[in-house]
Amino acid sequence: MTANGCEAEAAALDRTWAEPPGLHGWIATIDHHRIGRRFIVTAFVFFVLAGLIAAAMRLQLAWAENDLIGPDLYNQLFSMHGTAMMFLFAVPVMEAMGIYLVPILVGARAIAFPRLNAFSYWMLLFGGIMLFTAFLFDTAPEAGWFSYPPLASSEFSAGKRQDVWSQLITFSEMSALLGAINIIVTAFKLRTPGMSLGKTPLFVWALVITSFMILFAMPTVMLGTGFLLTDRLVSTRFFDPSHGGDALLWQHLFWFFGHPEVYIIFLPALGMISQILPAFCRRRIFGYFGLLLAMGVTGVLSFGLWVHHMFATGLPPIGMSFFTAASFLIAIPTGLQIFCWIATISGSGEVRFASPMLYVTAFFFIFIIGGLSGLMLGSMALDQQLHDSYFVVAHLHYVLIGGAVFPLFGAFHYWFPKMTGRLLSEALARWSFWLFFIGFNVAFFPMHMLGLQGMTRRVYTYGADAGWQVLNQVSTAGALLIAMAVLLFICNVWRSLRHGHQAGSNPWAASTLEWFTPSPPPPYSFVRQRVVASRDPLWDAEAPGEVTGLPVDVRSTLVTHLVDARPDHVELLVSPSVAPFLTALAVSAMFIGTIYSPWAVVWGGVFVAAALVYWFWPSRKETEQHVSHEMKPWDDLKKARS
Amino acid sequence: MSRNVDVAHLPTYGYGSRALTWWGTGGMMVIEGTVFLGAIAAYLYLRTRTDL
Repeated sequence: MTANGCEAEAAALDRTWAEPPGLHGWIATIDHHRIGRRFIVTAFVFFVLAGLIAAAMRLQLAWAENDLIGPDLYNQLFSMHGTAMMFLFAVPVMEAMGIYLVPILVGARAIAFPRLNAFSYWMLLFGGIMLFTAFLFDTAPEAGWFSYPPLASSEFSAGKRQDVWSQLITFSEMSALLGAINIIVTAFKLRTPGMSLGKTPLFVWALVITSFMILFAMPTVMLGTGFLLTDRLVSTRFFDPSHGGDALLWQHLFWFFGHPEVYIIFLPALGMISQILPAFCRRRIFGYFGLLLAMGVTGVLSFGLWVHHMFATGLPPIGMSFFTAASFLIAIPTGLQIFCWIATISGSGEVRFASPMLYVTAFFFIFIIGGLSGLMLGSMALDQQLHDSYFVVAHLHYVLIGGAVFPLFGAFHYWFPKMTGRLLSEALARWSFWLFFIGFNVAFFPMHMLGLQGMTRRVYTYGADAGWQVLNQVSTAGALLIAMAVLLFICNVWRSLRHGHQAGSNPWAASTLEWFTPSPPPPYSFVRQRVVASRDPLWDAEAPGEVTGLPVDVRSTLVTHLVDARPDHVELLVSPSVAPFLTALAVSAMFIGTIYSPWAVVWGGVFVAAALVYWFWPSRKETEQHVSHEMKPWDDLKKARS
Repeated sequence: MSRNVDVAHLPTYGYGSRALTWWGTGGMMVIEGTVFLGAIAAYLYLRTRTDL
């Protein structure tokens, strides 16, 4: 293609993919880059808010018999912290990275369902706003992030606090489920020609496996919270043993979702590591298929572990032995992955320890400690002793922060230049990394010891004679270091957005397709989609080929066959619309209404139906445009025959 | 080996599993199906725990 031809095509694509201006454009946008960025920022804001709540709790626990925070507020704080971190930060931010990156990693021009993607974002935002507004009005959840009945029943938690929690779950799970469908279809059907399943980047695979797990795990928690809400609102008795219900049903429904949830957070992080390592080790990833199979096996096994959260409930010993064994089994695929990564690093002649690589290295250190304490908890005998103690708090933070947040921060540093076009300051990044790494271990390692000494989780204070004050103070000091690290990271982002060096399209000399686009990518990502010949197309001797003949005057992307990514048809895409926003408003009003009255389902349903009719109402202009480009499947056949 | 691919002749839609909406609808069916399976499992669980 000549340079002039390329520029003319880019100019035409700029016009076709332009978003409406002003506030209308801000609301109506369906650009996956914008929505992905917004998703990441929103989830990060919730991370900061939930982190501040954690800091408040740490201040309360720093002194024995402290009266900074009372028991009622403390209940709300730990429930808010867990709920916001799990449902508003961890899962959404991983999906958000997928929403931004999967389409460009597979070389597509857009995500499969752009309007659904926008809807998914608005649902998360409105759910989060509802939760934090409720917190301001003293109506925040108070029964922990897993909200066990009978504690969460109306008998022990009067008022609307647990209803708010139930509906927050509905908001965030709906958002995650729709995002999962979008990611699966994008990864399966929009891969650029040549990118067969075996050449698909591991981060994309990680997101696909995660998305399938979301499809099978999250509906059960929505069902569970539905039961809980009706128990509280219209006096059903799902969890009330005195009327034929069973409180343990909740735990089964919750943990059937809750254990896969941990891996839903963790698997995308594994994918991030598999993208970051080759770029900084200057070699292709070792054991691609081993890593892929290990992720798949982890995904399947994660559905057979849920009862290890319920070892203290008095279930039959044979069942518990099975779940102990299944819990140990997960060490096999995890170990395999760690060995593949070590092989990638050790086979490299030159490892660059830039900030993303530092975070990945920290992952190894922290996650392995978390994994080992997980094996301890997986043993039923020891779990009986440690259940509900600070040992569990230490373990879950080692696994989730070490296993997911550290790789995520690595990924922030790695893809920040792509998303913004600017480089982060490496010096600030290193400061914030070391503060985070040291602060994390100082904050959470003493909790193992506190747990072994008998300190139970979720206590708002403890007696001076317990002897726990020093370790708690160490832990609080660590928490403050983490707060400083995050603040420094925010300062780095703020500064780099204004004064950072221009990144260019591929600052790390990495191998995958997202680095082929300009930084930040235009709304259509690629002026011409590429044809790839290997897993690392930018490291091939020959530059990737081009897809020609895609229309430039209508939004479109190429659909390919599932396995071998042969070109199949050209998908004409929808244009920006405020319908997803309006529908999300209507659905949110209905969900919030159901906290107060079951009739909200009926009246809310009317508004939701109206919004959906508007959503699907065809636009004359768009239809005419699509008809003018229409090529019927049999036209292709006729051409081939002639 | 990389090569260029011309897609100007390709149709603008396809039927069955070639269509994106087929996959999207399938995803929605999985979600709803899992809700129903969960409800059936919850029913059976409560039945085993209750003296009828």
